[in-house]
Amino acid sequence: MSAVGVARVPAPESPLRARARAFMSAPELKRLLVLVVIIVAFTFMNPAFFRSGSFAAIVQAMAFIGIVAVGQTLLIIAGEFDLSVGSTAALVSIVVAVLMTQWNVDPVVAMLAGLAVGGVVGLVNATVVLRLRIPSFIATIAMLGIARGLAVWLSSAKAIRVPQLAQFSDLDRVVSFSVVLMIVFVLAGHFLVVRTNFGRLMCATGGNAEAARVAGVKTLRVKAILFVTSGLLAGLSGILSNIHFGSTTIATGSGWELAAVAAVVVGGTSLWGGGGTLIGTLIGLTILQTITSGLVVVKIDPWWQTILIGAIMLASVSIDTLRRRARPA
Amino acid sequence: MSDQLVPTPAGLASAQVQTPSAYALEMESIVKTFGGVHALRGVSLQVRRGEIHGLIGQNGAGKSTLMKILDGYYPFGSFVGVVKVAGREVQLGSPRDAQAVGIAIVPQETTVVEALSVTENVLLAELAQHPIQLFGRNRSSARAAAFLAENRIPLDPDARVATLSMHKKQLVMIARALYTKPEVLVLDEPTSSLTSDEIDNLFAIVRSLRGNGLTCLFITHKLDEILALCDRVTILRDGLTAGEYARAEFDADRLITDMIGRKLGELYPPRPSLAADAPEVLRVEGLAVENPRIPGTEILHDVSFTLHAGEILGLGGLVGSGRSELVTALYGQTRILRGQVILDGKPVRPSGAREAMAAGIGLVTEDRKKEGLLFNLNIRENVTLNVLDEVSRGILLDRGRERHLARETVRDLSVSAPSTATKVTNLSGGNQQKVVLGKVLLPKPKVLLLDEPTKGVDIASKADIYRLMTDLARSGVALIFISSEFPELIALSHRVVVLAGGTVRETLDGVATSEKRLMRSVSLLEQAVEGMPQGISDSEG
Repeated sequence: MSAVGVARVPAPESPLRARARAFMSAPELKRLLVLVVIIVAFTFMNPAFFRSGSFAAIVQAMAFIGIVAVGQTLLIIAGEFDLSVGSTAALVSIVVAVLMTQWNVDPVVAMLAGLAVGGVVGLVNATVVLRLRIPSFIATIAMLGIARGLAVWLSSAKAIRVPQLAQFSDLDRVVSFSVVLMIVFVLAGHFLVVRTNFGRLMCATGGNAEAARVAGVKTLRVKAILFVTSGLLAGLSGILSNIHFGSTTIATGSGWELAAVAAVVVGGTSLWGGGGTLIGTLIGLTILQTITSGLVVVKIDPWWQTILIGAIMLASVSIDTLRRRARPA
Repeated sequence: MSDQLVPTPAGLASAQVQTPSAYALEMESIVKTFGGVHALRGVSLQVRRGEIHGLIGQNGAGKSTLMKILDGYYPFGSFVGVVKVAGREVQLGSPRDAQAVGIAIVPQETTVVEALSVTENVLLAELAQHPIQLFGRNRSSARAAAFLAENRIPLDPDARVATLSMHKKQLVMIARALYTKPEVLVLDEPTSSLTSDEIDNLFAIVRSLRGNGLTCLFITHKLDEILALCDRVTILRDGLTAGEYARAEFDADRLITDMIGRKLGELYPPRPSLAADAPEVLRVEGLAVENPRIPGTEILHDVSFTLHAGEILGLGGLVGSGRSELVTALYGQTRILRGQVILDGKPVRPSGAREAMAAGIGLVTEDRKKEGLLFNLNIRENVTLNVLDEVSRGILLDRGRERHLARETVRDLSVSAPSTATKVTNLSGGNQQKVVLGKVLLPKPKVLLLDEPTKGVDIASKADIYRLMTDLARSGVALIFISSEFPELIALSHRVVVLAGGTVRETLDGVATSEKRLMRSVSLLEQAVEGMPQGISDSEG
């Protein structure tokens, strides 16, 4: 053993090798492999799965949830949840539709107003969780009920057609807004977490709020920003769904919160906060959506879907938990 | 109570297995190692029936390791030596085993079920054994009331535990432990969060329980309590039994000598010289600090001291004396009720960590798990957390600069790790602490507050941390150094401010003072400190 005070740092490995090693050990890569295995398996069971152009359908089907899952991942990294996202999407989608059809508001103005509503919902969540210190699990479940209730009230529980958005809908058929925006937000979110100052503050807040506070991080502000972001993204998703389908009902966004949390968990972000990956969430969502669609293609009873998705979620969380227990902090 | 003054040799007791043993608890030649480090090197402890037996020793002497063996936390087979209860050898595999053979430990931290009543808490073990039996509220309550009265424990059986004071909660724990009819009741530092009236009250109860035939092992590091309460005492030092005495045989001097008993090794670097004209960096005047656990009350009042560039100012005192609160107040984390903090001639009142850092104050917190490190992040990400603005352009992190800074820190502090991308979870305690130090030092503080920086750290890392502290002092940084380990506190500090009784008791000269002197100052009541013998120089900054 060297004497006290002698530096004991081994020479750093070459940057290229270090980068290659980091790439190979990235958690995203393992999940990508799982996804490939699943696709191969379905193709093997029914070659139609690969041919049918179902990929485009899968990607479109998951795009709305994908956008919502971006906000969810960021919040979970910072140590909070938002279970109100599906209802927020419904509320915003209904608000936009009602503004255009009943109040003849300009479509662009209506959409901006809708986004504002999403932001306000996020702000209310933030206030309740951070000021009143109600656990986000409870607070956002309450909001789940309130926002959906408001949507039902505003729409009188009737489907609303939105021909005012026709010009956007036409464009959406050429290039899907929701798919493009999902990819943009995932990449932007990934960049935010990995490369920015704010991303580091998020990880610090979720990992050890006490230590972050001692280091001068305004943890409440970080969380508040992310609640609002989550609300905004949920609202955007609701609006995009209006554009895509040309109509809306109070069923818009139902179940999105669970699908989004499932995607986050399967994607490898720890439910305990402190770190995570948006690329992983995207892969996680793709895995779940591929299974959902694949089971239909290979003609397995649909009730297996939810069982399988539940099982995958449990497995993902268990792996995370066991890994934590094996290496106690 | 024993009338025998000479300790019985260990062999004799084990020979008398058939007759009821004179000892409630015996631990013989206990050796416990952690990866080559000897925590216990052959401790023997013999507690006679019906006595209150004190166990005293400095931090790191081995008290808590010994208790964890007694508790079954370190199971039989993970240590060498024999544990006997009532003369019979026991092999404890878990805390449950310990309870089953009659060892009831009342831990330092409160473990009561707040939502339940006193009765339910006291009868909890019984309830757990018969989970499907109906809980007869009145019958149980009456039984608990009778039990409490019999043991003269002043508790209302129907009171909800959440509404009770710390002291009453502790009595609930004691009652719960007694209800199992233990061979020996172990009280681990029971007075650390009690007022002096409550301590008197607790002692009266323990004495009355002794009258009922209870055997009690009383662990503390306060001399007063041993002197006031115990029939017999065992002193631990450096993992060995340093002495065992009946009440007639010991006084404060005897205990202190046995507790210290060792020479300061080569562990400590020479104390950096302090120029007589070193400029004053920090002046604290008449500070009153709020007790964060009981808002609205003050844990410290009228605290005044000065700190000079290049000075290491020790902060002595027992756990709970307000040492941590004083430094966290300077760092803007604990509320200052009155008084002034003057930094570089200007009054400051940091409102939070960010402001404190901006003013040039850095803090290494006592609990690095809870407040120091982000275990899910790597070394680089931990180290740069305080200087994110410096390693980013606009909102973007400059990873090159970040890596460079982290590598420099790792080199300067000799952190041993494969790379700066290693997660801090995978580092040893010593290396984790160096990462914390590196993080705190990066904003280049003028005043560095260190709260128990060597706690839970291996000896080599300790030496590294000492060297770093003296280097910093030489470069003109002013340090405030909290430590419960007197040798290091004395070896490194220019002056030691002793906190006791909610304020500054005295300021000792680090060069002239002795461990003995310091121990008296922090752990004896005020009257006893008066008329201290031998060269004491109280210097004023």
